[in-house]
Amino acid sequence: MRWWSRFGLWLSLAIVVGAALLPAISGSASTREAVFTVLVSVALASSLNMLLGYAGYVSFGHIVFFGLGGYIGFYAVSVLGWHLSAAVLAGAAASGLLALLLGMSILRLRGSYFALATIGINEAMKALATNLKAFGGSTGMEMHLRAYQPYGGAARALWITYWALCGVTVLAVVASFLVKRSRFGLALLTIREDEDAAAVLGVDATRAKTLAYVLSAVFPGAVGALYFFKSASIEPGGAFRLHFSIELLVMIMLGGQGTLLGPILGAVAYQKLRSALLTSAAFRDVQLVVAGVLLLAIVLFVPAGAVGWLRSRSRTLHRALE
Amino acid sequence: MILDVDQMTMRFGGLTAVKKVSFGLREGEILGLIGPNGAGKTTLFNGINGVYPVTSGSVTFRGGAIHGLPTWQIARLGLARTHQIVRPLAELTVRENVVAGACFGRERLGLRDAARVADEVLERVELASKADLPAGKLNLAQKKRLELARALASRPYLLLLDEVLAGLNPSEVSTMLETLREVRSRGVTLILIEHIMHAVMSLSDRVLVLHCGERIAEGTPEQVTRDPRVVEAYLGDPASIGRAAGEA
Repeated sequence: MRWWSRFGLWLSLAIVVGAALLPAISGSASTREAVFTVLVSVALASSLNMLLGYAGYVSFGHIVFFGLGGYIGFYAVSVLGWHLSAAVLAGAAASGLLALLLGMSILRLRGSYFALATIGINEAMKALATNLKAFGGSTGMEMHLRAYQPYGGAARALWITYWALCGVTVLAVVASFLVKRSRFGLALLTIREDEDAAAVLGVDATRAKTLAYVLSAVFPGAVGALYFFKSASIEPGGAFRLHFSIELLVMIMLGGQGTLLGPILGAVAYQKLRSALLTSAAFRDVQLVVAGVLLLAIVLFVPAGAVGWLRSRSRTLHRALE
Repeated sequence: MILDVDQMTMRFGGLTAVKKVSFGLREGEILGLIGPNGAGKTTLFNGINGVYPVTSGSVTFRGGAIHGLPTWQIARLGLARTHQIVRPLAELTVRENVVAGACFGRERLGLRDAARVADEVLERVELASKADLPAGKLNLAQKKRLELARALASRPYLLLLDEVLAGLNPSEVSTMLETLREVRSRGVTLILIEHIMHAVMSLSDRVLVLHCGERIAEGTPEQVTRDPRVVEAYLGDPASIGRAAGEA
């Protein structure tokens, strides 16, 4: 394989790694916090894109996997005293398992029915967490400062968490690329285009969709564990935040669903926009309205998103961008 | 016998679309399936390849019962089909469409081998020059050839063709007929649903006629066209036509 055939991957990784290195160069904690937020979005959007962009299944409640991973990871560290790395794996595994169980039942639904079911699941998990004593009920859980001791204190723990997130984000992007270029990825694309025709071609749609759902859930699980370890607290409203789920869709649609680069650019652009809006007096209270209008405009005028639009402009761009 | 359909019935609520249809198919044979609109031809295909469940009766393909299996499993056994209303994977390229056929069909090829097979098949159906176009951009005749290419790429034993000639102009029809003869010469068994009679008659070894879900005739093209029941199904009762003409 010639190097340029992977140009799209290198470009995507260059953007992610470039952004990730910014705080290391400046050494500033505030840059790190800003990039952390962006990378969380990049990882989540890239993961969701494997389901939404490749298989064409819209999961409105995808944040449920972030929340579940967060709760499991948080519990593992704060109550069970596990090492962070084990807690992250546990968060990822729990989310993957939930996706597997759900996938076998709700992936039989198509279109808006599936989308609605995913919202229901998020709300159900939120209600479960609210009522579960072990998880602290509606007030959630707090991390004791002692929990950061094994990592050389809170300040160092934050950096470790940051680098771990960078690692997970890179993994999510690489996984997106590998899936896209694989036979499995082609199966997902045929499902997106016409699920009945895919079956006639010999695609085992149930298996492929479930696998895509599991893959798209594993990374958010890991990210959730890291995110809430860093926040030092977790509560149901913050973990299963439905509007974050919808913001993820905006990011993917903005950048270009089904492309490798799209969710990355979309996440970066959206987070930039969001922080600009949040700091402006006029838009501070209506930033979600802007997100909604943005989504509407994309769906109406540029359904392929920025990267999709660029790819359709010329053959060179089509080949260069993934 | 490569395919044996025995007493197949397909019922949808109160409607019986296919009634106790039986027929067999030898390897390498071309069977024409004709009948007026609504006769149950496409439904019969949907029953054979598992798109809709068979209410009763059995379908045996290469010695194994396939009724009740999911569509994708039947496809992997080497039974491919094309659709009357074309179903290109519109946003994928023409090549990707055909690669998908090769990847998930009988041979379950890896991507690299599938790409090789795809290019070869695209050459055969004269779509090689369109390989990099999105499939949605093709015209109808090309989409029909794409359907065929996708099915062929899976290297099927049996191919169900649902009106591959419909909507084509006469020169496109003759190109397609040539392609079909070539497909047959490679040992693929074919069942074709077709309304263009000269095509069915010139291609088929045998013709099966359906009317209102029932088999009303079967035989060589000559036998079938002389069968009064077939004439009646297509044109109405000859005696009543005579009367109507007399009254007018």
